[in-house]
Amino acid sequence: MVPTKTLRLANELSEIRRLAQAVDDFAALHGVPAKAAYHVNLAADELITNAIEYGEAAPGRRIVVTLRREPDSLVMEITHRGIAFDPTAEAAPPDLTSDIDDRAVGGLGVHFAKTFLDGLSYVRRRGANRLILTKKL
Amino acid sequence: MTMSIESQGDVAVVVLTGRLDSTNAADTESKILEQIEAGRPRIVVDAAGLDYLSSAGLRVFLVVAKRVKANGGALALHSLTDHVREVFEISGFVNVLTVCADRDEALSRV
Repeated sequence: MVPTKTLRLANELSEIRRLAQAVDDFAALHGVPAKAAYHVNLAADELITNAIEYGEAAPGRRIVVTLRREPDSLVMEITHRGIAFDPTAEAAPPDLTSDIDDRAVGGLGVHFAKTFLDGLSYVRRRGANRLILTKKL
Repeated sequence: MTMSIESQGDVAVVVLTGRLDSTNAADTESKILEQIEAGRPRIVVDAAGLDYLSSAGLRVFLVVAKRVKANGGALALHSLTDHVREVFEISGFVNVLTVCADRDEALSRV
């Protein structure tokens, strides 16, 4: 049986830290390297921050996060109800080359998530947004 | 995250410890900008104790870098930990912001 853990986060940015601790604990328990856990946490932080800031979910709505320690990967599913919002779709590509005067920060969060993960997918189903993050181990 | 600000000459040295993320980015930014408003646009950030940085945190450094430049000063960061350095490199910010190995180098660059 694949080890799993489920957390229900309140729709608040501070919950991201609680999630990070839970991911670190889960990783330590199930032989996931700290660096992989760090990358998943950073990706989740960026995506959940976007979902909370732009996803217009009602304040009482929970964000459900499930972790699975698959044989060769760590998988995180993030589900939240709200308007159809795909945190992986960028309004504009990230600015990685402009100098200081012209530099913009938009799109960087999603860029980090895509760079640090091996898989990232979004699906809208039954009024909920679901993200699946995969980190190969 | 804890933030302390020391003076070295007319340079404000901001020492960050812990996480800089979406929960505390705005507050951190305003505290550093206060230094500039107080007439100290030469800023060094000691990142030796910073163990986590998200894009929200990176944005703080970008805003500060633009503001010090507009005020005739400069920003330099030093002693980045591995994870934070990785974020700087993936974002390309290592080429846009002044990143130094240690405090002395950072002080000489502002």
